[in-house]
Amino acid sequence: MARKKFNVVTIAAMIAVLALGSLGLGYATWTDQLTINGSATAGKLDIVFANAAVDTDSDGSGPGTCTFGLSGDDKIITITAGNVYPGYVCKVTADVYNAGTLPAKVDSIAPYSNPSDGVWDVDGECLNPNEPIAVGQLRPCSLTVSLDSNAPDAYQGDVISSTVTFNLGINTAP
Amino acid sequence: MKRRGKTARTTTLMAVVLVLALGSLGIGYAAWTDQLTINGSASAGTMNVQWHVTTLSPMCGDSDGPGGPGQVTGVRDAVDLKLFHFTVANAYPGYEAGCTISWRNNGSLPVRATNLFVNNQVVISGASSSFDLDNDGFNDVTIVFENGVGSVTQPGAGGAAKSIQIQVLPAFPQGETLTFTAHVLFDLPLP
Repeated sequence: MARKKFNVVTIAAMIAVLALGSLGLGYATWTDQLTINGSATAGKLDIVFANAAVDTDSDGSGPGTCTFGLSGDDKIITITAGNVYPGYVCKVTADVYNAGTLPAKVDSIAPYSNPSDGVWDVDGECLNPNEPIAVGQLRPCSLTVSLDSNAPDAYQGDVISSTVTFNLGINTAP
Repeated sequence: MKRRGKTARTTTLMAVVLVLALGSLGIGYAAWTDQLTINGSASAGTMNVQWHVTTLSPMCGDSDGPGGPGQVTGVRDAVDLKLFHFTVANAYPGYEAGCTISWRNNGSLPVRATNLFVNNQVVISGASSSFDLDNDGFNDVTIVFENGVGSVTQPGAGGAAKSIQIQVLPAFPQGETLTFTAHVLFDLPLP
């Protein structure tokens, strides 16, 4: 008698388990899903010199020489005036070009060493502090080196050099 | 007491984490900069002309020939190579000598001869200029500088031979040897 009762209870329990299991399976098929895919591309701050050219070599093919050279990354331009004599003028122009994808601005300008002394004249025109440079924008620059036409003999063989460095950052201003 | 110690450690840890976080943020900003540099240099050329010949040996060609009594000799200054010293010896009125001389451009710029100077007095180009070499108030010689003025010499090149003609005048003192020093002034033959 006790054995029969056990079987009934057992069967009932199994039926309940199966019923609840099938119910759970039903629930499982009634699910849904949302997906968010995210991707990010970093911008690029890339300011270079472009379109560099000798603008003025006052004696053409004469003894004075006016040349320039660009570094491999186009971020350093070196202008060289050679065999200069009284009255000679060398001028090189170049554009500052924002080749990146981010707007830039001039954060600071490193101390400008200018050897102008009234006989040597070094005249540079380029970026100003806080000057913005939009993406794709060109800003003209130039450097002119000349020796006064009345330079005394003491200047023969004289050598001068100057450097200016522009530190640039992202222009976050709207 | 133990709880207070744990809180202090947590605060310290948070501070360290905050500092590191801000530091890494700073590094991130620093990497997002760029730099442009303009270097300029200039070097001036040089004018440096020196007499190319060291001596007029044995002497300049003259009107009485190698065996004649008069003679003009010349030697470049041992220190200043831009000066040339001439000596007129055993000369007599009417004696003439012609000296051929040349210079070399050792500078980096072309040069153009503008004038010959004798004892710092200019010799008129192509014409006779008279000079009182012993400062007695009378001219002793006339000197003509031919083919020199206006000639251009390129850097590294030697100038073509130039002629200096010397003629002895009657005031030349008997029995004396007179000397003079010559130099040439150059300028830049540029437009």
